[in-house]
Amino acid sequence: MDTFERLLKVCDAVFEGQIDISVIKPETLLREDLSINSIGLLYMAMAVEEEFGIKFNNDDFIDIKTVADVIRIIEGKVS
Amino acid sequence: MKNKWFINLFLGLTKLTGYIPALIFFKPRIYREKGVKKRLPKSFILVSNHKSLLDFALCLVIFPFRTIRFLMAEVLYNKGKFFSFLLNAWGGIKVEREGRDFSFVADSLEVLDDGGIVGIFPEGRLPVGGKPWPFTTSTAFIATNTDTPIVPIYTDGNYGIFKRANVCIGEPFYLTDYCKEGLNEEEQLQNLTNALEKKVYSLKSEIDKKKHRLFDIRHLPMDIARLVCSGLPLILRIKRRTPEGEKYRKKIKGGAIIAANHTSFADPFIVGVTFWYRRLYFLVAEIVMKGKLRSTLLKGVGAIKIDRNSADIEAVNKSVQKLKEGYLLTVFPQGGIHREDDIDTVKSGAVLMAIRAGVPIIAMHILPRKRWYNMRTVVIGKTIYPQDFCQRKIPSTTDINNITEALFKELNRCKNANNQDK
Repeated sequence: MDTFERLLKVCDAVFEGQIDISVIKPETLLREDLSINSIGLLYMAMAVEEEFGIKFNNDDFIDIKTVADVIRIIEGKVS
Repeated sequence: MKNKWFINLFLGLTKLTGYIPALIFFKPRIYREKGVKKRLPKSFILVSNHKSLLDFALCLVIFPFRTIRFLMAEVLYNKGKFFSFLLNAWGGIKVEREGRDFSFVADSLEVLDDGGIVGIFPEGRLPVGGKPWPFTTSTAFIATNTDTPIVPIYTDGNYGIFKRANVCIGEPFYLTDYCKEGLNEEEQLQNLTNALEKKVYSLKSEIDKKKHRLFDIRHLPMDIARLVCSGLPLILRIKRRTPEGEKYRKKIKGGAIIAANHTSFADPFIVGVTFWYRRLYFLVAEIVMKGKLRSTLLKGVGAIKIDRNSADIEAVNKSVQKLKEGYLLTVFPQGGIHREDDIDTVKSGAVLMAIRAGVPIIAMHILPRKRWYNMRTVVIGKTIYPQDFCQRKIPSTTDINNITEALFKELNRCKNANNQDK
C-alpha cells in the first residue's frame, strides 16, 4: 500500500461519511475542495502521525494546501 | 569471545572510565516497585522495554557491580570490526533476528546456569515514532527453560544532558507462575510473553505515581502557585457545587480536561483554587504570552501557549502528552473572554485532545462576580467520557461534534444551575 492509499484510509476513518474519498486526488485542495476546517486538519494530522509513526510541527502546516503536500511531508519525514 | 575473565575485565574498565560521565548524562532517578529489595538475586534475567540504543549503557549505570550479558541484534555486529569487537568484549550475545540460528538461546542458558545475568530487550528493535514493538517470545522460551527469576525494569527513555532518565525496577518473579493449563506450547509461550509485557509496562504507572507526589522540586513554581491557591479560598471565598445544588466533594484522579467558561482574567485562579490539590496546566492564548518575563512566569506555573489562529499541532501534542502523564489541563473552550457569560458556542479542540489522550472532560461554570466582595460559586458538572460517544476504535469527526455538543449542553446546565443559586 503506497502513501496515498494509506492516507485515504486515514481520511476515511477520520471523516467517516463526510468526505467522499473516491474524489480525492493528489491535487485536491484540503480546505476549499474537501471543506476541512482547522480542527479537522488537526485531527487528520494526529491520525496520520499515528499511522505513519511521524511527528508534525507547526511549520509543516504553513505549506499544506493540497493532498500532494501532505504526501510530500509524510514521505519526507518517513525517509 | 567467551572468556569470562576478559569480559569482566573489559566491562569493569568500561564502567571505571565511563561511569561518572554516564551518570552525569543519564542522571537516573531509580524507583523500586513496592516491596522490592535493593539486593537482587545472584542470577536473573533482566527484561527491559527498549527506547534507545543507550538503554544498554543505562543498565550498566543502574547495576554497576553486576556483569550483565545482553542479547544484541546482528545489525550491530555488522557496523565494523572494531564495534563488533567492543560488543563481544562487553559480553554481547549475538542474535540473528531474521535467521534460523538459535544459538543465542543456548548461550543465554549457559550464562544463567553459570550463575550470570542475561539482559534482554524483548521488543527486539527500537520503536518507530515512539510506538513500541510487541514483545517476542524468545524471552519466555529462555525463562521457561531455566530456573532463574526475571527482574523487570521500565525506562522512560528520557536521555540527554538536560534530561533525566526515570527507571523503575520491578519485583523478581518466575515466569512459570503465569503458565495456564490447557494451552499448547505455542499458545503458552504467547501467553507468557503477554504476561511479561504487561508486567514491564505496569512499572510505568509506578513512575507516574512518583511523578505526582504532593510536592516536587521539578514543579517548584507550579507548587508555589498551588500553595498560594490552597489559601485563596478564604480570600476569594469560593463555593463548589454540583448542578443539583449539593456541595462538590469529588476528588479528581488521573488526567482530565477541565472545560470552563471564561468571563475574566481571574478564571484561571478560580480553577486553580478549586483544584488546588492537583497540578494544573492551562492552555493560554499566544497574545497573553507576549513578553519574555511574562511568558517564562506563565510557563513556570503550567501555561501551554496555543496559537488560536492556526492549527497549532505542537501545543495540542504537548497538551495530550501532559494529559497522558496524568495531569489536569484547563481549557476555556469558548476560545476567549466572554464578559456577558453567554455560552452560545464551544470549540472542539478540548474534545480532540481528550479523545487523543483518552481522558474525561469535566465541565465547570464560574459565576461572574459583580462586586469584589461577592462570594464566587463554581458549578462542576458530570464527567463526560469521550469513549461513551464513540462506536469505533478511531473516532470520526462526527463523534467529535457529538461530544462537543454534549459538553456545550453540560456547560449550559452548570450555568443555569449556578444562576439559579444566585
